[in-house]
Amino acid sequence: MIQLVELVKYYGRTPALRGVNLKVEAGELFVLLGPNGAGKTTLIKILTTLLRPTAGEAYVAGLSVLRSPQAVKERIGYLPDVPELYGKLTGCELLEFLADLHRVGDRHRILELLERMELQEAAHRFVETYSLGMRKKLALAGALLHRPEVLLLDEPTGSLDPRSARVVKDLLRELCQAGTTVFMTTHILEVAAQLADRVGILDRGRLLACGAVAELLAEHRCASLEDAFLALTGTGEGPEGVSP
Amino acid sequence: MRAQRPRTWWLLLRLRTRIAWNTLRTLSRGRLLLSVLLLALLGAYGVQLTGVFFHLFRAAEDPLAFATANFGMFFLFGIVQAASIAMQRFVTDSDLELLGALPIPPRDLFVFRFWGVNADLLRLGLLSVPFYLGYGLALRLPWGRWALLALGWALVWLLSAALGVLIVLGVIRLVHRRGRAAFFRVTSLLVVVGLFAVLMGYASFVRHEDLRTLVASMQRWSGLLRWAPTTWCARLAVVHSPWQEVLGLVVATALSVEGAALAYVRGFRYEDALVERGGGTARRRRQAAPRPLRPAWWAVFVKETRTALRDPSLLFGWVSPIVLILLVFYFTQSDTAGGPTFYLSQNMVGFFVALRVAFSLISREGETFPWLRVHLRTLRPVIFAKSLFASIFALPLVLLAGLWWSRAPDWRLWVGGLGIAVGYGTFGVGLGGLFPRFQPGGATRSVRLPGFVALYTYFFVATFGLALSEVLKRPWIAAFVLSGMVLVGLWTAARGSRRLAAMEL
Repeated sequence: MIQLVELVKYYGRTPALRGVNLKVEAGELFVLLGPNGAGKTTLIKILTTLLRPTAGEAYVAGLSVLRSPQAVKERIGYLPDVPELYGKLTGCELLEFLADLHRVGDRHRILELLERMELQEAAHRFVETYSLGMRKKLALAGALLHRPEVLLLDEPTGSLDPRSARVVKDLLRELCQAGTTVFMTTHILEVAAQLADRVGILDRGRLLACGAVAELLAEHRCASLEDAFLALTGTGEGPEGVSP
Repeated sequence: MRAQRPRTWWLLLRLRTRIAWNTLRTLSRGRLLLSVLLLALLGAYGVQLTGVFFHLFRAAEDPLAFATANFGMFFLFGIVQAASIAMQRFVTDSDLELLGALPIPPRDLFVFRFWGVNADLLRLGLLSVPFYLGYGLALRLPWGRWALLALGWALVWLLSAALGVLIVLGVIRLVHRRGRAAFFRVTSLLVVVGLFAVLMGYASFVRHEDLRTLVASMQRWSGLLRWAPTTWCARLAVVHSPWQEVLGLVVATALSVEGAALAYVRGFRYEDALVERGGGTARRRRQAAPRPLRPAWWAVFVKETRTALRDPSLLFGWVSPIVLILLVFYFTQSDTAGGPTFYLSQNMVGFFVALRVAFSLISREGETFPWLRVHLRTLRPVIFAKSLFASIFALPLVLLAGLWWSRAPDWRLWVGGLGIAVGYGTFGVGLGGLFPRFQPGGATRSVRLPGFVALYTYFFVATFGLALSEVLKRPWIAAFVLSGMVLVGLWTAARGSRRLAAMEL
């Protein structure tokens, strides 16, 4: 469902991704881990077609992000790390706009998602009055409106309270069971350990490891995902100025 | 895909309309009142300037050459202003990522952003209306020619928007990110300063009735601007069969818009819009070097100055109503207008500084006040810095207003100007603190009515007192009123800082 072939991305002379190869199957929940500036957001933005790779290829739902960007956009749902939404629209109005763009005629879908995200009471308030966590849940509802084949989520549980994080995690599991492919990044290793079918660890633009959590722990002889992560990436931060 | 296009256009247009409507319906009564006041001011400016240009066009030996110069000047301003707006709409708008990841055809996205540029450019376009009206009235145009002139006006503004967008799309591909940001900041500032300098220049000419010099200088300009498409627009009103001019304008506009659309569809990349993070070697070296500690008030003052200089639209929004009010005063008063007018114009400037600049300095701080509160023992340095900024901002404008009315500037001008600038600067910031727009939790609300009432009262008392001192020829009354204004301003600022410090955020 997602395939990366020798994917390279440079910002000027600064490398962000250096020859990443990866394949994510349909219905799989793949979690990409990595320190700040590792290239996670760049990778997700290439999959959303917002960024163009310097070299290599990326395929989403069998379509090239370079050659068929419009068709790719119709098949994905995207949640950015910090969703920038229109503050002077109500939550309901924003979802109606997105539903119209995706040609989703079923108005019950909006209500269903608002309810699922526990936003029904805030649905008629302006988005500018929402907390960051509420905005994130609203943006996730927007990403799910058209039942996309592939979900690309950048830090979906960041800034969510434990209850909301549980709602999102349950939802992601259900989606995967229904056949949706989920590709997400996170800094929260517990979330990765709980949810992921497979995890990948990206550092300084290179995919250092990839596999099921148990496989990674066994391969690197570590007791926890945190130990494996630190063993692979070291404790230092990634290079500055890589991630947009 | 082709069948889908009008539908996506429509959705994006509906989105923009909904946001505008929601913004309008949540405005407070105070903001609505302010908007009506500004509209009335703009209307007064329009009527006055139309009259001025009616006489100028009548006096001109060659109205066509004169119109060419005027229209051409606005066309050039339009291009640069459009480039400045397009820089925001195409490169830094917060919805770039949201819309970029949605299945919207790039051409529809271009149309959406292009109309956004046009909507913002309309403010500058409206300033040019008196020129066109004056021209048409002086030539006693029939209705058909008026329609052609209006069409020409609309096409010229569309054309300048398209050219501005083209420049931006070219610059973001060719110029380094930091370089282009600086480039657009400087050019936008030059437009603001240049436009007002020209309007002031007109005002000065008109006031001293030196029309022949003005007309001669404008006719020299028209020679330089003969290449501009605005020449066709000016000719629309005078040539026997203007269809060639209409066709020329339509083709030039269509080609420019299509060119900009193609440049966007084929050449624009989201990463061109990204703001580069991390600094160059020089910046890293600067960051590594030890730096002297700034006092809190100086840090806030430097921050406000940087913000104002880096946001030309903010500066434009602050300066334009003040300059408009000065122009209206200048055009409406005779040379014999005495001292009361002198003080009235200065107080009007102070009033608008308090209303636009000082209130905004506080309300923009909504998200950082909790942080400031944690790190500072008292908010007094913050309020002091903001008052200082507002006063320094007001001082040249207040002095300018005074200089216009003073044949022989004396101490009243300098001391009075200083008192009025400091008075309104501190009073406005103090009121912003007493009736803040932001609410606990970081949300904002509109300016509160008691703040407006207090400001109007301050304005009327100050103007009446100062005017009275002129009428009665009692300078001690002016000294008393001015010192009272400063004291009340300082007292309000102190109260405002205490109110903010005690506010639950």
